[in-house]
Amino acid sequence: MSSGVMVDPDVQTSFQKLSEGRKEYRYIIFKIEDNKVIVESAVTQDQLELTGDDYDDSSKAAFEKFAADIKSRTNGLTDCRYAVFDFKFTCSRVGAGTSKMDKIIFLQICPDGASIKKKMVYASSAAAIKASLGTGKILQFQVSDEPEMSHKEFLNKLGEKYGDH
Amino acid sequence: MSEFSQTALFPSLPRTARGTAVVLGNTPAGEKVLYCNGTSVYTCPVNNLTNTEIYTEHSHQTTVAKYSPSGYYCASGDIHGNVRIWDTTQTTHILKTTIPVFSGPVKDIAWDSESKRIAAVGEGRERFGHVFLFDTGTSNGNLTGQARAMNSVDFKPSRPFRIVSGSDDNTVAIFEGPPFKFKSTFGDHTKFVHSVRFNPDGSLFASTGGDGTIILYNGADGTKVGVFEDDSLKGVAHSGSVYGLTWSPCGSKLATASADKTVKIWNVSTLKVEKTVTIGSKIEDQQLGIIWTKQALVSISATGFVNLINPELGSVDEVRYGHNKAITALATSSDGKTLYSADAEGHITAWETATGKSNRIIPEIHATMITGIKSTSNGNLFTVSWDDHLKVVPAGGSGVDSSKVVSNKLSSQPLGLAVSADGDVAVAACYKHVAIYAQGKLTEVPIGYNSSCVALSSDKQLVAVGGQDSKVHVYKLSGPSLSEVKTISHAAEITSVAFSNNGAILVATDQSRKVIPYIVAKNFELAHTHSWTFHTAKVACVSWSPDNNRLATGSLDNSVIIWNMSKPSDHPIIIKGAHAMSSVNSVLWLNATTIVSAGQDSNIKFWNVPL
Repeated sequence: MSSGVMVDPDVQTSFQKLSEGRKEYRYIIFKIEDNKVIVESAVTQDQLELTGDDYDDSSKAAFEKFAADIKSRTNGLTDCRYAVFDFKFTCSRVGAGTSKMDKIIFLQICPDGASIKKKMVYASSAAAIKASLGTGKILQFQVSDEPEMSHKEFLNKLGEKYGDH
Repeated sequence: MSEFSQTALFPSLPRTARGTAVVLGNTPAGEKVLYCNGTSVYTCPVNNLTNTEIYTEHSHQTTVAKYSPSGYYCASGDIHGNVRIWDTTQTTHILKTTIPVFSGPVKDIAWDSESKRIAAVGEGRERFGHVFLFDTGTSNGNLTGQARAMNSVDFKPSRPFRIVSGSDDNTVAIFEGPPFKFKSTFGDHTKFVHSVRFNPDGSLFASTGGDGTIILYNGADGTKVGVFEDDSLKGVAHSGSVYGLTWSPCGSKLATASADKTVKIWNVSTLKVEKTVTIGSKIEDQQLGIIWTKQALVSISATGFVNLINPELGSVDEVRYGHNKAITALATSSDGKTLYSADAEGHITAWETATGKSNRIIPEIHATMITGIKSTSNGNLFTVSWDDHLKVVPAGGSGVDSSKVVSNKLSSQPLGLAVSADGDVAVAACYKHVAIYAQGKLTEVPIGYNSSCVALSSDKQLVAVGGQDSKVHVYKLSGPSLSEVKTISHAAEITSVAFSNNGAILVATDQSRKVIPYIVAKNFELAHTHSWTFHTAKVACVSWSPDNNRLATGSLDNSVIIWNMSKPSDHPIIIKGAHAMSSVNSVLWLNATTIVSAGQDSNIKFWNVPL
């Protein structure tokens, strides 16, 4: 908001479809266009065409499709995006054994390869989109290069937070 | 018969800050308006000047208070995000619940028409709004969707329920429920949205904000119905920010309050202005809040003044003056008909003691805190202020004429003022000297200590100066010179001194809670041997009754105590919590059985203390 970028009402309504009720969407990618944060693509579970169970592979297959989608939309990580991803995984906790977890992660993707202006705009507008999504229910991560976008990386971070470490 | 009773109250004005909207509440019948100042909530009747009720249970600065449509409860918010819901039917105002909604100031509160749900919005760190059930505090939805602080919220008064809100991100949001869920935002405003309000039947709502436009929407889905336009302005409704918006009880009109110093009344069917009420031309005349109850249309000026507007004629029927900063000094005219109160920002208000009608003394005499004010028998007014001036305001018109002030520069800060009844001699206790003003001449006598207060005997012979050195210094006054005749030691800094009206007794109060009377004729020996230490904190002020038999003292402990000189061993009359949550800065006897007190809370209270 300090950048003057507004948040489109669709951002909040599609996020509701990811976080509440039947959880229609699996991930959503947002971009800034004409001084406005808009929904670039919202992908349902069915559109991912996955065969295995998400909890078994800790969303590995789904996440790889998501990462590939980001990569193609940012033209090989030379542009910035915001994204939310519904991360389903299993982790083991002391006393509770293995449990199925379901966490929404918010990614602020500002690759090193993007133009400085883009990175500035996305960084200064992040507060606005996070405020309108409601920061209470999401985990926030910043991504600046491809290795940071890997499934293993996020699984470790989530495991650190919720697992028995 | 009780020892004392409160007979009248001249209430504080609402707290105002430039560029910040004042949100007003009202009772369902519309006979009272609610506003906030300090840690209090004021329930102020629109047709009575002396009968305001004050709710003082908040521990932080209050921001907004709203009555439930049922009339049984009131919800009030503070700057730390607490919403207190309290009973309105009993004077004890039993607390129903306190709900911490977020960690920041609550800017607006709305009840639903069933008096079951409350929506509170503001500037929290984690969220900007919360909707909950009033009796249990359980959440009834989710008001996220706007990216910056939410300023205003309203419930659709009819089913299907909706909540609308206005935010600093320039948008108006609509939520559907219950449970309430984000539906959409509308970005028609180009600046902050300050106010959103539904009409009485819920078919329409309007929003307004910093861009000076007023937009009308369909109440159910938020489709834009129209934009209010003033033909004299291009495409906008006001030439300044609009801070408040209110619907008429019938729903056919809308009134708005703006920083362009006007209140405008609009016709909802034609979207055109019907009446423009110009309040003034100065910055202080900006209008920061407005409410249209079933009985009155009330707007608030940047000074805090309460304007009662006649919507039919488009004129201001009545203005209520007063203070919204601490009252530091009181004085009455010699006939007791006029009361002067002075505050920490240099404003002086003249009140009709019988009716509570008020007037601000304009042009203003001082720019900063007034530490002493006295009225003389010929109607002149003497004042001293932290702007280091002793000023004499001559009588004129129906009161005093502040355009012809005699101004005397003091060389150090004045802390107290004493004036003879006829106004011949005035003595100001300043930080480093005592200033004597007689026959239009000012003489400054240096002192070797720091003074805090001063008294002058009625025969103009003796001056008593209270010092921060814990001593009362008594001087003989001859012409413009002083000779010290007696020094009386106390255990702590002297806070106030006063000679009885006949000059027989000198009373001094101090920071160690003591009130000590001395006999002047017997070389200032103690008038009695009892310890008058019933205050629980610093005594701030003292005043003699006209019959010289009783004393009233006010203290930091919120109470006023009435002492009886002829029965020094009796338990005094203690008015506990005379000014709840606030220091009592000034007390004054109006007549043998009436005292007036004023405090940090900007209220003036009248107490009857029968003989």
